Amino acid sequence: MSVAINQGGESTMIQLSGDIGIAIAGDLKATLLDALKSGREVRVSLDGVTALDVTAFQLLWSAQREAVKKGLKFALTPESREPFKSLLQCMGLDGSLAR
Amino acid sequence: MIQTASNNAEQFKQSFREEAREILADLESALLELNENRGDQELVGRVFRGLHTIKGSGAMFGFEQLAAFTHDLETAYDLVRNGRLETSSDLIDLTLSALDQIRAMLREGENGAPPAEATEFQHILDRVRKLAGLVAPVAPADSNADLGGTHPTSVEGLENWRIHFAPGPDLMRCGANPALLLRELGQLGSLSVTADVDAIPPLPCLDPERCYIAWDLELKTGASRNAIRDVFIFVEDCCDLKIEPANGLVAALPVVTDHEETAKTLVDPRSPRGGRREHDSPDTASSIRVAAAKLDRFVNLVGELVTVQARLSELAATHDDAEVRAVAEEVERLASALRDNSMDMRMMPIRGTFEKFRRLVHDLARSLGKQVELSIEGAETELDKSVIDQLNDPLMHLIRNSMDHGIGSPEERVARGKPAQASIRLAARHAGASVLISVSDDGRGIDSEAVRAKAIEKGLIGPDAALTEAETYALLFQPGFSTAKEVTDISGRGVGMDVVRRNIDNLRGSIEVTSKDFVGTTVTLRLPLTLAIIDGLLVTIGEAFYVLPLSNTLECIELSRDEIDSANGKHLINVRGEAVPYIRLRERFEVHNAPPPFEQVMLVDTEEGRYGLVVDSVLGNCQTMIKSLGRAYRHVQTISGATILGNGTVALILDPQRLVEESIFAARPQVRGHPGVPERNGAAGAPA
Repeated sequence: MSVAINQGGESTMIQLSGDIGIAIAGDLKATLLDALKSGREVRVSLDGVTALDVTAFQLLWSAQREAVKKGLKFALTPESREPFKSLLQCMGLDGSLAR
Repeated sequence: MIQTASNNAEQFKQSFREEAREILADLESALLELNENRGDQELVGRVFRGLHTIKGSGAMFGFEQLAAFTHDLETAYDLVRNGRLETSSDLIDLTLSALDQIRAMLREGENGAPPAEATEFQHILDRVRKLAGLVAPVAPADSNADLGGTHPTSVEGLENWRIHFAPGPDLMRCGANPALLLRELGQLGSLSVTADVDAIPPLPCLDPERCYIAWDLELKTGASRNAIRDVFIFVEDCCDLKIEPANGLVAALPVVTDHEETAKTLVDPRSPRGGRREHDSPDTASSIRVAAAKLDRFVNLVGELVTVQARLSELAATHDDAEVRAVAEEVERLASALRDNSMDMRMMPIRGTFEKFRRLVHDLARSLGKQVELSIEGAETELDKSVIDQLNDPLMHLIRNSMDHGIGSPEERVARGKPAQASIRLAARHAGASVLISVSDDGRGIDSEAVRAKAIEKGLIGPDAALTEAETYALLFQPGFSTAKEVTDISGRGVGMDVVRRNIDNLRGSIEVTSKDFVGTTVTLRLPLTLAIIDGLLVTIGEAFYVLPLSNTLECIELSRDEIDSANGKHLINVRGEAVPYIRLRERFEVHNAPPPFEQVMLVDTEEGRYGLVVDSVLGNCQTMIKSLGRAYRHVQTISGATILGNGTVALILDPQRLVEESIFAARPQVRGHPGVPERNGAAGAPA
């Protein structure tokens, strides 16, 4: 599991891979806060994510809300939204997080 | 950070393994009780909850195969508790085998252990499904499974339930995963989920390990309220949970919160993961799990403190300062209390060890075609953990011997006017500074004539030797001794009783056997309450101090130079008309300075009979904490440990049995029955 940040160009890309859950939640929070400080569009890539839990969702949801407050764009960029889609559906959160 | 997260994950897994093993022990106990009380619904519920907990937490900690395996077992017992499946001996035996399989799965990956045998796993699963009438495999807990999958029960009629689930602040930290809980709930029927995200705070204030989302759910299912509640059984103390019927038919039922329902319906409440379990004793308000190694370190430090305190007391006694003496006395009082408390922490009831043997007796009885009931007395008797750890093998050998040789077949017993079902009794009780543990059976008794004949055949005794009953039974503990007509898988090689003797010796204990023909046999082990402290006599040999265990010492006799000279080189002393051999420890330890005019012969009781150990002087009684000599000296068998005296001097603790054995071997190495003095596996010292 890993969280990597790439700040270059017009957007900040956060690359997530592996199991994104409570074990890495602290790192993910710190990375999202750093990304939002940059003032650039934030794109979070879910490519390579094998599993997500509710803590990951909460962080992404809260980061999106923070981005909106700052007037920044915030987007998830996977090729497929699985397993994120399954998580959202299972937990009644489908539609809560904008694509 | 990633490495730390990975280490944490492994730590959680190990924590799960420990707790799962506790649950498995309880499950095994419940199944064996259920075997005797087939209709007991409380026991069925206990088994179901145990399997449910293992399944749920197994999935959460990455033991997916284990969770899948347990799922079908859980299904079977759900059918049992709903009256749809009988509690047959086949089901119980199969479940016991399944528990063994789960243990094997828990060992996977632990300290490099290989994966569990897959064919056995599948074989058990197929038999469970066949017994439970689960023709199609039931989908295991899988994060990618759709909601609303097959549900285990199909009760006629569906009901609507309204469920409110709000995780508490620590639910995620406890290892629970709300997504898995919701998936599991979805397997019970048609589930509609509404999430409330309003409580998620701004990102800078968000605690990443806490779940802020709450859910309102509507479930249409044929499952019972209990089945719904069971989904959350693992987290019920970490969340706010409300389950209420949504349709008018059952609206008359009082709406209860989960805590009230817990009090009303749970007879044997299983606490959530956190390691707390219900015990029989009333004062189990709270307890915490502490690693044994940490406790050992703590006890060691307390021992060091007590040693330094003894030095302080000695120094204070030599100073004419009332204030210093008063402080030294206070420190002595506190150190003594601390030592007693720390020793008490290591004390554990022997229940856990005793209960393990129910499974052994059950399995052996089946394989030998005998009927045996195991009864247990004094399970709450407490001993030091280090003593309990070493009791498993000796007790196992004694029980196996009893079942194989002592107890006859049901037909043989009935022919003798006894009940077909034999009984074995395991009992424990305190007796002063010792604990007595006995294994009794109502079998054939020991054939003294057969024992004597075998001893003569092996050359252990002469044909005309006159032995007391106790001396005859003691022969059973000689290496390789067995009167068994055939060697079975269970016993008969003459290895088991020798192991018993050596293990009990290592524990500084003793064994007594009583038996009556066709009535039964009792083997009683007398053991110290703790290995960490020794009651001894402080003696000197040359300039050095030694401690002689009081448990072996019979009396002290003065030995003059005249008596030594008049013995003409024979090391024998006249004790009330009996010639008792003695060992001069000055010679043994090569002490060359001049001995005192009067030396002391410490008469000790050993397996070779009474012997004397000659020392320079006896300073008095002492009670000391034993320190292990460590690996460097593990081959020094005649010294069982060391202790630090009040003046800071180190005193070595003598092992009288080994001293006598080595002297006999050194004098006559070719004596029959004494092939050599084999080394024990480590001396008995303080716990590591």
